Amino acid sequence: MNLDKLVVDGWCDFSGDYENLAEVILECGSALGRPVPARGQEVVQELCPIVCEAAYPRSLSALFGQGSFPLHVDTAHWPTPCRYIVLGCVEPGSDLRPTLLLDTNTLNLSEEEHRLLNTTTFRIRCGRGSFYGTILSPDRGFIRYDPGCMEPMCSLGEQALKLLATERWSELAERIVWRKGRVLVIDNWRMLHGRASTCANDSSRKLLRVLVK
Amino acid sequence: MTHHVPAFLPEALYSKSQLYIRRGFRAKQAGDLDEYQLWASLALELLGKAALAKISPALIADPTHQESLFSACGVQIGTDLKTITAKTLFLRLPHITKDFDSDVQKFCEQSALKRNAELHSGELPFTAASQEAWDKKYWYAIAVILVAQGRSLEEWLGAEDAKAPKQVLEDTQHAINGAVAERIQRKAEEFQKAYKNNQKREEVINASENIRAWDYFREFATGADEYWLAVCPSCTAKGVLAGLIWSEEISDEYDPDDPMVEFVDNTYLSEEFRCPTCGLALLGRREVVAANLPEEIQVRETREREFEPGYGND
Repeated sequence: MNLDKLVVDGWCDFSGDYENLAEVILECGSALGRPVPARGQEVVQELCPIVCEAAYPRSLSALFGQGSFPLHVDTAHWPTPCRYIVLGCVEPGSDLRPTLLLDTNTLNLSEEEHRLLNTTTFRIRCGRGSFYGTILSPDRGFIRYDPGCMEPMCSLGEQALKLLATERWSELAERIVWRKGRVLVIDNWRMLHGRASTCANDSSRKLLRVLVK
Repeated sequence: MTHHVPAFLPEALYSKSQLYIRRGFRAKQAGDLDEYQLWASLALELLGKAALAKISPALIADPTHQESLFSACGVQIGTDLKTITAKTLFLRLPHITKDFDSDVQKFCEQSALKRNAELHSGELPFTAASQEAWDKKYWYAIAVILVAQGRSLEEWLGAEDAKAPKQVLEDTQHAINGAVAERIQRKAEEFQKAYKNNQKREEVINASENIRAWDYFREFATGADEYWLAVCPSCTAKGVLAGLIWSEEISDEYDPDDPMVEFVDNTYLSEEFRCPTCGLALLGRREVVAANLPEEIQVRETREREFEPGYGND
């Protein structure tokens, strides 16, 4: 794992022919911090494109099914999102759907746009754990952005969401094309990531994920 | 500007507890057992506060005293600082370690009461108490509180001074194991004598399958949060375990056929066991564990959903 690249670029990757990919990404996560489960599930979670009807009712899959996922930060609905995400590819799927990565440190946003991201209030909707917050804040070092759970409280909020929308940045985003055994480490406090769209919504892609605090 | 004050610093509390037990040992060596127990009780309380303060200093600040709360959170607005009472301390410790059971809690509370009587009255609460019995309970409480904050007796006392308490703990555990084994054996023999006929014995055992745990709540010394059935190690009939709640978690699981319910997973720690069939009684967590009975149980409750399901990036 290239920690220098992780610090400089906000992500890094490595590949191998691993017998137990889950163990590899868990070890990677443990080296970076404390792996934690999502939704009370196992620490190593399987992610496959699924249809809306089969998904958890409040999830990105419930909203977008097997289609593309907007750029977002994982666990933006936690008071403090997880620090890193470690993804490992078990099966890239026939459409080789890439993951998009966007470094928020390199965006050329105007002062007005920064102000919007810092001041516009959203409802971060997560059942009994819901709260209000902003996308950016001078009081913390991470970005909070997930259109799947962040509801604007006014029209300015709609503008703020669009500032970081996939449509605006897809050309600038890094495209990570998956292959079996590829491991991607993402600085979740800085990078937005999303699932790119393809012509065919192939459900055979299978990734493993570890969230790291 | 934030800064930490010694009153709530876990390191300061821990170090003071070490100093106090050393003063206790000096008193003991000089033959003054009353003074030994006094210092030891103070050391116990400070060690307990260190364990809580390690999680957060706010846990030992007097909640009714704002200067203390602010100080514990790193903002000093006053110099008169107060910590929680011993009673509050010993009510909070069960939430950070499963081994701080009701037996340990009672001992610690009694120790604090004796300490108060010693300091504030004409009584001699430590005199004539059985030193051996006190030692067993004291060192077990200390060991539990040390483990809760990732420490050991050797670290607290030094390797040399830790030898004797460790031996006390080993001997005590050995005695508990022996007493429990003997009690189980005795009840088994009594049960066999009472029901010599195999068929009758089987009938009695089978009938126990239908008992309802909560029907026996009056039999227990502990006021429990939950009662559940477990196989009696003496007669193999169903007996009743009583336990206290350790944690309550709302599950992320979701029933698509009944979206208006949510699942709550409660964990209860075993405190006491009683068998209505053979009369076996096991008091305290250590006896329950020594009998190889379940140390805890998870119970899932279903209740009407108060909030919509949580969100996830999946």
